[in-house]
Amino acid sequence: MIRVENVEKSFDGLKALDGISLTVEKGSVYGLVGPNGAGKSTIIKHLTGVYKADKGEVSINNEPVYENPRIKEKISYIPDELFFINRASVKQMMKFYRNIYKDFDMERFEKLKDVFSSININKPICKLSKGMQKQAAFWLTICCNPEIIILDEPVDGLDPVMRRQVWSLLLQDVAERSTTVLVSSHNLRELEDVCDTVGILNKGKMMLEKSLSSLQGSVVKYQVVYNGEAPELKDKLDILHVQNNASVYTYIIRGEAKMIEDVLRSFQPVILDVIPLTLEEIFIYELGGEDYGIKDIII
Amino acid sequence: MNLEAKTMESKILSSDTWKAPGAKALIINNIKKTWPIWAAELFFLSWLIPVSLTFDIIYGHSYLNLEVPFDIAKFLLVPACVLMAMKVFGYLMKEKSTTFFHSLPFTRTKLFAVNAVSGFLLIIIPLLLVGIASVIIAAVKGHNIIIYGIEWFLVLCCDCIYVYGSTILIAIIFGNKISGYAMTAILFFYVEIIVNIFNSLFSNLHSSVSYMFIFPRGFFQFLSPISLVTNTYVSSAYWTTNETNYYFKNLAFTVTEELIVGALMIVAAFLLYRYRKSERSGELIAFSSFKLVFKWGFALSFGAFLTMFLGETVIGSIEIQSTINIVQTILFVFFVVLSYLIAEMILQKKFNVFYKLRFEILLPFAASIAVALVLLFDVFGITRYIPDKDDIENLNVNINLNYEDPYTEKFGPYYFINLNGEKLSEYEKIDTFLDLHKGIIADDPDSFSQNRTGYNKYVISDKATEDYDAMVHIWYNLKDDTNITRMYYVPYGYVEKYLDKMETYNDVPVTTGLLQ
Repeated sequence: MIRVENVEKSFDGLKALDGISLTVEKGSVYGLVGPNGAGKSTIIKHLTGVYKADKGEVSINNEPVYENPRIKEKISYIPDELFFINRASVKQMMKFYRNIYKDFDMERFEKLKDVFSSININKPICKLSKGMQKQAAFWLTICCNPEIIILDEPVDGLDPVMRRQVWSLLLQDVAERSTTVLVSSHNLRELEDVCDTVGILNKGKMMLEKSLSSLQGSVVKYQVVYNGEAPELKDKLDILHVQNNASVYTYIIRGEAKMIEDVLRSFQPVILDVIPLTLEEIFIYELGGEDYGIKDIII
Repeated sequence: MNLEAKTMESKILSSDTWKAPGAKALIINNIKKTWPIWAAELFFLSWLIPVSLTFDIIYGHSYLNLEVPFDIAKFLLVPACVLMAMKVFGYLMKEKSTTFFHSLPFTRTKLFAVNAVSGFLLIIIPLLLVGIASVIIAAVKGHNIIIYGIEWFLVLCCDCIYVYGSTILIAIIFGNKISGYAMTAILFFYVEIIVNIFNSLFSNLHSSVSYMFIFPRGFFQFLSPISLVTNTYVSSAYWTTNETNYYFKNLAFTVTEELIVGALMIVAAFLLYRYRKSERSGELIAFSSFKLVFKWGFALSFGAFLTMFLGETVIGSIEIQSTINIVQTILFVFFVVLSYLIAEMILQKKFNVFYKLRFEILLPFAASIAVALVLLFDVFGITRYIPDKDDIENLNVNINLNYEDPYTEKFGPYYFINLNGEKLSEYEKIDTFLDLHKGIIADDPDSFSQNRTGYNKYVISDKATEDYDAMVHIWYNLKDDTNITRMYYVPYGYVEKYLDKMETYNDVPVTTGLLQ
């Protein structure tokens, strides 16, 4: 289990993490989302033992991560900016990792050659395309058989087929080996399909941390047509966003669905439809309350 | 971090540091990425010694001097050590690579130790191979040079430890390759640079004193890498058909000194590495506290350099004369403040730094005024210092005179008196020149002349009437192996009374031509 407690980190006086806490259960997939500069990569570098927290604790299986090779051996990490040692090929990197990670699975490496068949394992990775470099990173990471996989913007540059392929491999590990995956991404559509829990970060703070199902249950979207003037709802409901198009009102409301529907029905609308809410909408409207909403700008 | 976490950290450091897993991968990585360095070292060293020895045997040369290849080998090893250290720790220069290596399951201690040791071995192994080959080839010719080979290897190893350790320290402190290499170059010459810059500035402020000898390296030589590597021992090695002759003087001192300083550098580098923040990689300086040292060091040194440069070139040639000290003092203050701003621009990578520093700039302003006043008023009495007679081993004296030809109004022909050539070690003779020196000091050499451009005719201050210039150069060799050299421009009339005494030590007719 990954546990981050009240972690603070400043860079030259700028607080990148401001008392952040999160918990990731073993065998789950945790999605870390947030606007640019929210602190996602910073918290990930704490989880991989690269950064040392100014305050607070970062632990895995109740052991600190920083300067702890026993724990770091259980983690594989794909950063947003890939790095491979000096002009190494996949084969050379495989040997490098094999010497470092004692659980490195050679059999799996051979099997996955079919999946990543487009990669020439003898060619320097730096000569491969960006997408292929990403594939190589996944290939090597998966073969390390880690207990925890940490991914920072993992599928950028991968084609749709390879994205699915990679996620399928990762989820297979989650199902069969109870691997824990923590993924930071801006591709919320993708996270929606794979995550058990989502944490929304903003300005170095954890704004919201919930299971995806409860998150989607806690914010609802209704389309309503009233018979006459629209009623004043602000006092009755926690409305995150309202949009009016002729007689059609679209509401995004925080709260329990049944209660919200009862309130809306009390105004006897002509039409009342529940519309599925995407993670992206939740992200946008939750952050809207934090001064990060989409602004109607006319240039 | 709570007590439990701290205990865990220390446990990890003590138990896993030197265990093998992973070290192999790092060593192989280092061998691969540094191959051009160790391969070039092996090639050039082989060519320099065993291959040339082989040719000597083939062609039956009867005499061979090994000192030269030995010295060349040393200077080949200096860049090899610098490049090796920068390459092995090069991952610290970019955030991407630092993130990669620091996310691997190693402690910082292990990463440092494996990298430092493997890099050093990659320098030393070619040297060892060349040494062994040389001993074998010499044995074929009938010379037993095993002891010489061991001493040679030992001295070069110590040179390498010192240079390699110093460069690692730089690589840890400075966050990117440009600043790393630049600072390595400066590190090797910093004592010479700083001493010369401040000597020049000091001499500009004290026109009667030669700049070269005011702040002798003395103690600082111990901290000067280039002096340490080049000046500490004397070696000789030659063979003839029947004789093998070699020796090292000061070998033990060299080895001890370089080992101590090199080890201190490596320990300092290690301690700093453990506290180096990964996020600082790629920045000019990886430690906030060193930024202050950099800014102040740059401000004072570069400010002094600019003042000295301008003083030597522009101010000197326009002959501001008596105002020169004040002008240069003001320039020094101005240039230090300017250099402080430049240092901040380099650190921030932007030009617009003045507004942010408007209050902070008061500090270098005050500091430069303080330094300028200390130099100007010679607070530490450098110009007035005369060594105690009991501390003097011997001394040399020169007095040079020139005058302007009254008919041609041109300078020269130069009548020259040179009263030197022997080291005066008799106390009564030393007394004579101590009196001369004391007399000059008592009358304040700065008041004699403001014109340092040559032995020109000049108008002296209220101490004398119009006269000719004399240069007095006194060089004390002290019993503690240091020396003090002073050079003063004084009125001829001032030294005249000493000339008779000086004649005692020189057959050159003192007044011939001078007063015709």
